[in-house]
Amino acid sequence: MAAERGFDKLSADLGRSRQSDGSDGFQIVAGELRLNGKRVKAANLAAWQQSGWQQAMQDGKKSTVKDAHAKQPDEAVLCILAELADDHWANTEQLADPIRVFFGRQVDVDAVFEAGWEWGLLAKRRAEGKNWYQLPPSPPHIAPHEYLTANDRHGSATADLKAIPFDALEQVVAISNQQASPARNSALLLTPDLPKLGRADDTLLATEVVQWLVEHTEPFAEAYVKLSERRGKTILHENVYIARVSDLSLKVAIEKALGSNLVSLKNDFVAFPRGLLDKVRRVVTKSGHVVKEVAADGH
Amino acid sequence: MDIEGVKDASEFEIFTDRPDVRRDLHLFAGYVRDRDIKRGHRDNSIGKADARRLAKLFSDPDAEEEVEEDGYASWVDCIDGLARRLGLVHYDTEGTYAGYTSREPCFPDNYIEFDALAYENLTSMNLAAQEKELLDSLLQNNQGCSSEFYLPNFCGRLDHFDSRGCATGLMPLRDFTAIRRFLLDLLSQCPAGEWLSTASLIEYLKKKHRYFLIPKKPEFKEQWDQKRGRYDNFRESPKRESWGDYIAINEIDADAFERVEGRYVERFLEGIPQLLGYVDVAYAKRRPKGVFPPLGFLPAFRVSERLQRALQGKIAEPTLRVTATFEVYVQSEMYPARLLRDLAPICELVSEDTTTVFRLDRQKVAAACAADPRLDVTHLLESLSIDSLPANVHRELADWSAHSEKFILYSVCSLLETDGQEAEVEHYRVENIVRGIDIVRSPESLYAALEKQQLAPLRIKHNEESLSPLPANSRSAFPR
Repeated sequence: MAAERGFDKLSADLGRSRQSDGSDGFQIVAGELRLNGKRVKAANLAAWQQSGWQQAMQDGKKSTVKDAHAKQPDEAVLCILAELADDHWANTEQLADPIRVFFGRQVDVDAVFEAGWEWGLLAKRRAEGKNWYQLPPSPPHIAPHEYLTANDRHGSATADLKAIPFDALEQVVAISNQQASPARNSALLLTPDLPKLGRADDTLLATEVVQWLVEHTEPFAEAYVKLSERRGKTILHENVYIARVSDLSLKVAIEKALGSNLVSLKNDFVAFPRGLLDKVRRVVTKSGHVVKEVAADGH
Repeated sequence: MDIEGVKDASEFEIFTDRPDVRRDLHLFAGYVRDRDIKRGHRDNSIGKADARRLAKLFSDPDAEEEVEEDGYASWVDCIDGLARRLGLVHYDTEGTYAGYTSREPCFPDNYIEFDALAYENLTSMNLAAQEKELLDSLLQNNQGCSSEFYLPNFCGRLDHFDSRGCATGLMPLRDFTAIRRFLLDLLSQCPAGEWLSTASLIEYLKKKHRYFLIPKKPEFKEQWDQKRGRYDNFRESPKRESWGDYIAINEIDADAFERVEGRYVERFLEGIPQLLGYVDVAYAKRRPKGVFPPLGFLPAFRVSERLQRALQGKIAEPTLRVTATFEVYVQSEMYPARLLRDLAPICELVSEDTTTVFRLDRQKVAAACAADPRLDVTHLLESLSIDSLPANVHRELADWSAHSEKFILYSVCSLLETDGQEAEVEHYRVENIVRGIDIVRSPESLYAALEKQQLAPLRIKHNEESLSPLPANSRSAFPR
């Protein structure tokens, strides 16, 4: 229930972004869902919820906190609710005094709790004519089929923004192209992106979400097969020096000095980590040779 | 020209051990080029640490001791000033006044700047032209109160006149550049290599060119100075420090010319001509007693053939010979800065004198070829040498030059393995090692291009001092 409230905000924000081109909030830029201009990540989504809650309480008010050690209302609420025993709920009347102690002055407790619930950071229940709150329970495991749908129109799959967990959203965004669903605000259309799939590590490729997409959608399956065929064949090595050593005794001396950190390539070429250049220079000079440098332009 | 010779020069103390101004000038330029030298905030002098290092480099044997004792050396300052006047280095000499009550300027952050273009211009001239630049700079410097009358010469031993009133009378209007040039021309007409009498030279000037220094009817800076006479700027005294006890020199005195113009000639001889090696001078073994500043303490001089050649612009270019023992002999009348600069990267210096000896060094030759692929050492030596290179030197040089190719390092490059995939990397290729392995440039944009080609490239940033292991399923020459 609580997480769904957070996604309400996400989908609402995403809906608004269609009409604006600023970098604040959620936007889809170059086929990628971004939050404040950066690719969506689970950790950033949690921070976005927290700041959204704070913003909701400050809207239209000036901050007048005098005590530098006083907590913000949202922090005070989270501290207090964390002390509640399992399955215990508290209403706003019970918590008004402790919050005033933490916050340092009187605050509209009902508004603070309501905003926390709105932003998905508190769980709420109505009983005996009152609102009762507690920290949201750990989200249950949600299977991919509950928030992903295979399509044969508009895209390979659809992600339901009201149901998808933050982690799964991050994973989906990392391997696909996204676009907002023309039919409804709370859905993302997903298509495979081979460059992104290429950048994904094995752990990401093995996740339940990615595997579901591969197993249930043809474009993702095709992309995955293509990736499997090509992955590990084209490798760009950076932070290494490449050298041609055409004197055998010098090559042996360098191999001896660098051990397993020297890679022998064909036609007298070798490669070694950049940080070992001084060591190589010493060996070259000691052997009575000199280092001839060729820059990237070939001269 | 009727100037008497000296019968026996051995009765004098002959001075020929002068520092090499030409060599030290180039060493100074090289020193400034390679370092940031900040001059003193208050006195605008070279700091003690730099002065000590320069003194060690320079050819004046007393400079190091002088720096240790006084914090500066006059020879270092002399070369520093000469380099600035020649435009080889630049720095602020005016300074700024820190406030209204400041009595003296200060020189904040006054770094010496090396002028590479001016230096290149100077060294690209032939030796005769370089010598002319140097001579002109020295002749034009030190006018009026800074002339030989009032300031001691760097290598000289003669005392100078009291400078009181030197900015008045006829002194400010004297053109010492023309006076010095006239005397140099005169000296160049003297027989070279013979010890000649200074008194005879003065006598000759008195007879033939009496007004070479002060015209018959001289102009004065102020009209009222006219009545003070032509020799009012010069005062003798009975002894060295006899303040206020002066002996006036009057135009009507029979020996007035010897006492003023004669003293100038002595001091001129031990100045620029002596510093540049155009003349050698001989001093009396005992300082003459009597009036101060002394007269007749420099009784003889000897003109070198170099003076005539310098004035006629006929200084020979340096000659170079390479022997079969890989030694390079450079013979030059003047310091051959350009030639030495060309030889320094490929030779070790063995000895430095009128003939400078180098030894060709295998590793240096290889390093020079590695640093500059267009360098052809054999061609360079052949173009400089007056003889053809010995056959063994020719052969070895070719071998040494090839030695620079034994270890070729590809800097600022990355390595691309494509395992036979048809990647389009031509634009990024520096060198192809073998099919499927290329040395490449611009890894950032290459990676983007490979992604665009849908090759699912792996980008491995290896650790600074060890190779990062590759994923197990990769195909690479690198360890997994």
